[in-house]
Amino acid sequence: MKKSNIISVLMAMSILNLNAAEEEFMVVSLKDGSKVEYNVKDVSRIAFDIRDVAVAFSIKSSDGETVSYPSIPVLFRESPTETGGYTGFGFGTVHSDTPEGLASGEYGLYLTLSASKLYTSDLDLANERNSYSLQLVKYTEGGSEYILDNVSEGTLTTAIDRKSGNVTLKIDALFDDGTEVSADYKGAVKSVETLSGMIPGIVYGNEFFYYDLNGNQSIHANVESVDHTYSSYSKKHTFYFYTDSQKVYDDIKLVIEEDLINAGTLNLSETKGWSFQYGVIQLYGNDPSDPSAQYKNCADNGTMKVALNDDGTYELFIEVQNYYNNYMGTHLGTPEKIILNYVGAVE
Amino acid sequence: MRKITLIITLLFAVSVAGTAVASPFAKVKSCAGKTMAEQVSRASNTVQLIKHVGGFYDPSAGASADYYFMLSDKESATYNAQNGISLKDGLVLFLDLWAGHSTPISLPDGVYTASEGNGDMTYDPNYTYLAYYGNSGKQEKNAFFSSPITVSSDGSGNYTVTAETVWDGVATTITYHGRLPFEDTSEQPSVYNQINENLNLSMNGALAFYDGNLYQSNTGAMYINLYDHAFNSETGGMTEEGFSLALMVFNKLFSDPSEAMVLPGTYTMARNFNRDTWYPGIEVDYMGVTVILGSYAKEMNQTKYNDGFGYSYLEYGTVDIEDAGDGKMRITVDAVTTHGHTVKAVFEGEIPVIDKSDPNDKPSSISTLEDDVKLDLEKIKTAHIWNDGIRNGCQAFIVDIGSPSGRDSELDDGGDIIRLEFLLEEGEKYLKEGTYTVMDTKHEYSYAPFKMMKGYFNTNDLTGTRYMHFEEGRYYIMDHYAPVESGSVGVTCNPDGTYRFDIALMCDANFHIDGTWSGPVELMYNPENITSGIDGIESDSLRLEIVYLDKDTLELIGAPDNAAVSMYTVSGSPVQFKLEHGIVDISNLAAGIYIMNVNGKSIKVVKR
Repeated sequence: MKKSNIISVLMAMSILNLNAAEEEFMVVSLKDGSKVEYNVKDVSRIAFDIRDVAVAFSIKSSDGETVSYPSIPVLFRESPTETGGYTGFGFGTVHSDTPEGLASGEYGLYLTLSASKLYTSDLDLANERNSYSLQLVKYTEGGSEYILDNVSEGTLTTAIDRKSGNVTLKIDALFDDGTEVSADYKGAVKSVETLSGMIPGIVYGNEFFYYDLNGNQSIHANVESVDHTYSSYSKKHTFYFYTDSQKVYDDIKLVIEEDLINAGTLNLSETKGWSFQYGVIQLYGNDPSDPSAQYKNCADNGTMKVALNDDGTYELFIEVQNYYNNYMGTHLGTPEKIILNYVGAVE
Repeated sequence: MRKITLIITLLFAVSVAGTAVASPFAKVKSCAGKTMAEQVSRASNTVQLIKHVGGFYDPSAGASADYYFMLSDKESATYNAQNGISLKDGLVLFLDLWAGHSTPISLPDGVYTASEGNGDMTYDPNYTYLAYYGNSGKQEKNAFFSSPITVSSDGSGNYTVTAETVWDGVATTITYHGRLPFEDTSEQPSVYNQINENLNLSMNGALAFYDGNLYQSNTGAMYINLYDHAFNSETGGMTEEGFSLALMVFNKLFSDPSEAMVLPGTYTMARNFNRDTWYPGIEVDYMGVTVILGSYAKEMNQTKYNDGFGYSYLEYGTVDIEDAGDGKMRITVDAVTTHGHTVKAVFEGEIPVIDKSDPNDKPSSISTLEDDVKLDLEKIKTAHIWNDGIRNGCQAFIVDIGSPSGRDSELDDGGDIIRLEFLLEEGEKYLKEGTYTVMDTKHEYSYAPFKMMKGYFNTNDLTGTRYMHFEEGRYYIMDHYAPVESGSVGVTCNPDGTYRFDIALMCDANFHIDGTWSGPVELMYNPENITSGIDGIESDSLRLEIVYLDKDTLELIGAPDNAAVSMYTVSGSPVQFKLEHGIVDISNLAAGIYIMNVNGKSIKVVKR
């Protein structure tokens, strides 16, 4: 080894020793998951100031946690296609050129307002329910985490400057689950044909929901495992779902024929070769060629998707109300509703 | 800042339009068939505007009121708040004038000068400009104003507006002659286009839709549609341009909807859905959509209205319907609209009626009535009143105005009779003055003083409050009967000792039973025999005593352990309760008075 090389290695070790020296850092973890670090030796003073911050859009959840945004980046408006139709407004927490793009933010608010109440006096949200609809969407990756649409009370104001076209929109709404929403906007609007894209479908986990006769969600359980059997004779797959809820007393069973796997999202009222059972809810696909079909409760609503992935896992989804047709008539049954979703391995 | 922004925007618009867009002004000569661009002439210096596109009056804008309006040289120009101006190849003059407040709204005459101060008799130069809309429907060219703008009126509602500007370097005078209506921005505007003119219509077609008891008013709702042009005979839709008149009228509720017909009468405006009334035209929201309800005139005109239709909502006036014979009806409408215009219309002809009523809306009923009853009780000289004992803690009195059993000879050849059963405080000896209302339900909790019993069947008789009719000219042949379901009766004691009954009832088939009877009422009971009810029950020799521990629990003192204990309502129906070691649980009982029987002895129990 040459002498010069030896010196280089020693210098490197020296530098290494310097880098390993301990220093104290102040690490601030933000709610969005990021962190901000300060070397304490550089910090001269820490202060907590309470300041008035402009809030254009805020959501206070029922547990008291509040998120707020200083501005509404863009306000979309969909105009009625016919005289007397409603006007829609939509905005979120991020800027976007399209309503669909709002889903990349945290929240979205979709409002429809009747023509007679548009740009007129304040609206009492508790007493003028025929004049508006309001949906608060909590976005998650790939869709909506949840959607609130039942307002208990609140006020809504819209106004327009006919000369500039600028719109004023103020909302103070309390949803029935206790969530409070406040929004205040004044400025230009971006016209779009439809705002439907700002409300993507709800993304479910491995969950089971049961809505009772009154439409209340009385069971929400996690689906912990799914058993799978296949009959080579009938060519039918049967899935049994097991949850972590003590409330779920009955078997949850889905039976499908082979060709319904990987057939996309199916309209249950138009699909044969399936049955679903939960307690007294027993629904079937209508098969016109089945002479006994008239004696079965053939669902007149709902969707289902069964997908088998390359890795052997299944994606199982069904959403259906207990309404059906049979020989006794059409749209019989009850408003009870099931939503069931499972993605994963089956036994 | 506002002006600068606007001017920059407009300059950009002009630059985008480029120089290919020439002056839109026409010479004062015919230019039919030519586009606006072809009408351009450097020598042109006048523009005649012909259409008032929209006008808004804002009284809250400041010390002066804001009169903002738009005029166009094209009949096809329209405006709405959502999309602004809709126009192709035409001009729009935007005027933002400020002047004193006015009631009714009318733009003051005078000379308006340019000023951003928004003071009286000024115009805001930022929002006052002339714009040309190209074939794309977008503004392609515009010019602002600095010269005074003159407004004058002839006293009959017609205005002349004159303004001057420079367009493509040419001094140009713009004039408008016509009406200048304004919408008050402090009031709710109409959603649908308004006709905004007096109408004198001669109608030649008709179609009516019977909606039955649509508004739960127990009257028959009907839309009578009149037309001055062809229409769809099934839907009633207008199939060609012209006027129609929709009259929402209320009259008899037909027991058989298939027999529904337009009934003659003078209909007056009301919002109570009563018979012989018509409902005024209004805009209402339903499921998020604004729809028109009530009576209105409608004009179909694809040129005049952006969506092809205009409306006038009838606010007050009369609708006369006469039977013209041969199955024809004559209808005369004389009404005033919400905007103060008159609507007069005449029609004579047949009116087909299409039944749109809900077949499930007809309640099952005992009543045999097929129409409302105006009671004719005049010939009954004396009514009779009976003490009907105690009903659920109330003293009950039955008043018979006419007897079904031949007691009143004046009814020997038929007629109306009615029975009224009143409730008062227990122990009341006489029927008291006041307004008595038929009980909401037949349940015990509905019993209360100044209520009336509904009509009902007991073992073999229709009793309670009920109506009967005996066939005229025959001896007590009953041909109609009706138990009362709702309504009220006013009882008045006249100074001469007689009674007056003002009857406004409704049977279980939703027909009215109304009328008045006044006269002597014969007591058919001895008031002295009415005691204070339960208090009059003989006290027991067992020294029974009740101690109320709370509202649901009482202690029975003095009863043997093996005593036979039962409890009844005041009407004698047994009720369930729990008894254990002298403690009585009455939590399952409704509030009221009960009788407890202990080894044959009775004691009053009050559940509060």
